[in-house]
Amino acid sequence: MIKDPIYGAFGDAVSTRRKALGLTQSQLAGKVGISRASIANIESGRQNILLHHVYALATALEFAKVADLLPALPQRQPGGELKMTLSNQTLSKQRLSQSAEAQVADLIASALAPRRSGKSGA
Amino acid sequence: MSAADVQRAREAAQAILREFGVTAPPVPIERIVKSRKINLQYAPLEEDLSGMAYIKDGVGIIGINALHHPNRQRFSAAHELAHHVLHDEQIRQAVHVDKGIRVLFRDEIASLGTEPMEIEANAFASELLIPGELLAIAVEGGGIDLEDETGIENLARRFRVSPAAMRFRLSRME
Repeated sequence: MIKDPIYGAFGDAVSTRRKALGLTQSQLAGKVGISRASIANIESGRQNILLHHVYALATALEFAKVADLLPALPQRQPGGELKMTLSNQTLSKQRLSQSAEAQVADLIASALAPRRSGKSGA
Repeated sequence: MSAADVQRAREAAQAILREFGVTAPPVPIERIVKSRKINLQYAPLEEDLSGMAYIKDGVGIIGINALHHPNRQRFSAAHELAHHVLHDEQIRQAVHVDKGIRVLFRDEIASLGTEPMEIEANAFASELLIPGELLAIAVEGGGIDLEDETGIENLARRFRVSPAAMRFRLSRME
């Protein structure tokens, strides 16, 4: 299997949200209808996940929309022209990681994208 | 770097509460943000990032980590709103990304590594989501024992904030 970094990023997102909601891997597995081992493999990025499981996970993890669970592609060129500063950067000397910059750039692109007219299919 | 003006931050939050006529918790933070024509976006971000604030060509943007607990997201939204209200000059120049607001609650020592604009944003967010007057009513003027975990959790639930944010607010109650 070709290891695509998106599986690792997706696994991290699932794991972060599961913990934020105070769920165990077994509890999440029960809600999704897959094994606890599958959840463990998904969270560690070792499993190519099926699309209907992505939707079931988004529901089980109480997201309003499935896209809230889908991270920006880590390998996408970060930032571009965007200048970013991190809180307490002067004191902590920390910098944003490339994948974090990509996520923030992606979020800003969504915010600035022209609004659709609201009519579907157009 | 100038010192944090916590008083100004709290007053800015109180002005917004008056404008919205908030009389009972929870404070409608999403509605407040949107009323200011700020584009509010949720996206999955790395675990230690809580949110971001930016103004691009006059368009205000707030981004929130969709992976965090909904109550923590409310605090992040209020914290980012503070940057728009108090620090618009800085967030026009660069995207301001906030990391680990939660760490600030753990203890006072952590605040030694905190820059003035973050101290101000936390004071604003704390006052906005847990207004002093509503908190006084909620604890019936009697105060609350900071060791009373259940009591703090119940209060936090009413205001829809994390227990950590409630503890932070109670420790600064006057």
